[in-house]
Amino acid sequence: MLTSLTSSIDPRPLGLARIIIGIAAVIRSYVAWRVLSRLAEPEVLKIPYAEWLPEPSLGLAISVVGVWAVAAVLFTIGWRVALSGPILLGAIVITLSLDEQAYSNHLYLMAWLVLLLTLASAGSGINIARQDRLIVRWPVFLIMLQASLVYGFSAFTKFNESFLSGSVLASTLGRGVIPFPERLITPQVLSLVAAGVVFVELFVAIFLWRRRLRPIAFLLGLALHLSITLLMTDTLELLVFSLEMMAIYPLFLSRSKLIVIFDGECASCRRWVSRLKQIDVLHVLDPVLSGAPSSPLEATYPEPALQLVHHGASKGFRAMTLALEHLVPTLWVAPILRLPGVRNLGEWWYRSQARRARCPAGIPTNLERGSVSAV
Amino acid sequence: MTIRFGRMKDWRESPLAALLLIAVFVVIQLGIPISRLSEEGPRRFGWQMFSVARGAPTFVAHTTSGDIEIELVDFVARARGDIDLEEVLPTHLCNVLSDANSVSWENGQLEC
Repeated sequence: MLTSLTSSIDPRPLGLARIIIGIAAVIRSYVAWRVLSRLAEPEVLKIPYAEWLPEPSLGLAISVVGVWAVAAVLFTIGWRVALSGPILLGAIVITLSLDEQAYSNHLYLMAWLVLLLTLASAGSGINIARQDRLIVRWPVFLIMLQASLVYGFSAFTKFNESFLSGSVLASTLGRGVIPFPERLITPQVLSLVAAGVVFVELFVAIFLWRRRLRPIAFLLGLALHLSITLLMTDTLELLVFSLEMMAIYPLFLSRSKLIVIFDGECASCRRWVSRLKQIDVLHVLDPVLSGAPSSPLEATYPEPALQLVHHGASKGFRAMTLALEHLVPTLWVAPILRLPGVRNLGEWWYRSQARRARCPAGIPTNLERGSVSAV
Repeated sequence: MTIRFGRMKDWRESPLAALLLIAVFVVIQLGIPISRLSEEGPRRFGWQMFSVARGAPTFVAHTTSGDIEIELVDFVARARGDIDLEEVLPTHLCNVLSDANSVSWENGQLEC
């Protein structure tokens, strides 16, 4: 266990998380400006944590937010994260400390994430220097644990009459970008939605860690974050929170390479592999030409047109789905392709594509019988 | 883009450092939210997001020129559920509204 935690891993998923959380920090600097500049107005209430702390002023607001925004941009592009990370963290901590009204759960979360990303040496992957360095696993494990703790405590504290009756949702739903249908704002519907929210938060907290149910956790997490961002008040702040949480999801994906065995004579397969490689920011795909000497797996998995080998072999549309679940930016939405109906439609489309392309190895005889496992 | 597979030599590789920091993280991240559970209402640092509804009270400033219903947006940067406005806002209103004689709300009144 300890050896695993101190082992070296690919830095690119963490680099991606740093970029998304950095973008969230850039957006959040605008909200910080709104709050701090309001606090600088003389008629606005001040609630300091301690008497000795400086009172918010316009000068202080400009300085803090200015430093914040610059540090957030540098952090995002991966420029000296060991320096830009602590500066960004400092600006966030100063903002949080200036007044009780400056507190937000997502800002507190951002402080933790920037700290952990800096600790994890998140600038080692996908950075402006275009040179990646291996990183140690345990800080990444802490970031993953952070996501589960946030979802877990959030769900746990919702086990109360006020939330489960729907009264909390009644005061927040429908005030976002998209209005919630008035006729659905009934105690029964709101209670059902409230129970659903608690279930989703608990499910995601637990099953992000389980490979079999992770795609469902991704789907439910995406649905949760889309709905809170679009339906609830404080859209910008909920967008920041959603970006923070969704940035952590790719860290849960398997570290092993996805071996794609494809038939080089099949134009359709070549095109698909080329497209997949174009969006393979995390470098998870390892395309291997069928029949190539470097294809030791061929004996294990014969008749490839486009196969994908990852915890056992997947073929055809299932292989495409699995590949898309590991690629940016499709990894957050690709689990939708597993849904019944969507999957059937995808398999039909894939078979028709393969037929049209006349892939010799891509249309094995069992395709004609409507096999779902063929390309 | 390439990955350097050179052997890293930094403190993060130390099992002792890893164990220590994981322990500190778990104690803080479990300890603070758990300690917040026993307190009433939404509390900071406990990941209590939209868990309890807490409506803001209506404040009325009684001035020499008449009663004024207070618009919170004019005097509060952010009305959060974890801030008890009844405790902090009336005194502030007395300070900034020079002609206010008193401030009242549903559950109380403060003479300025």
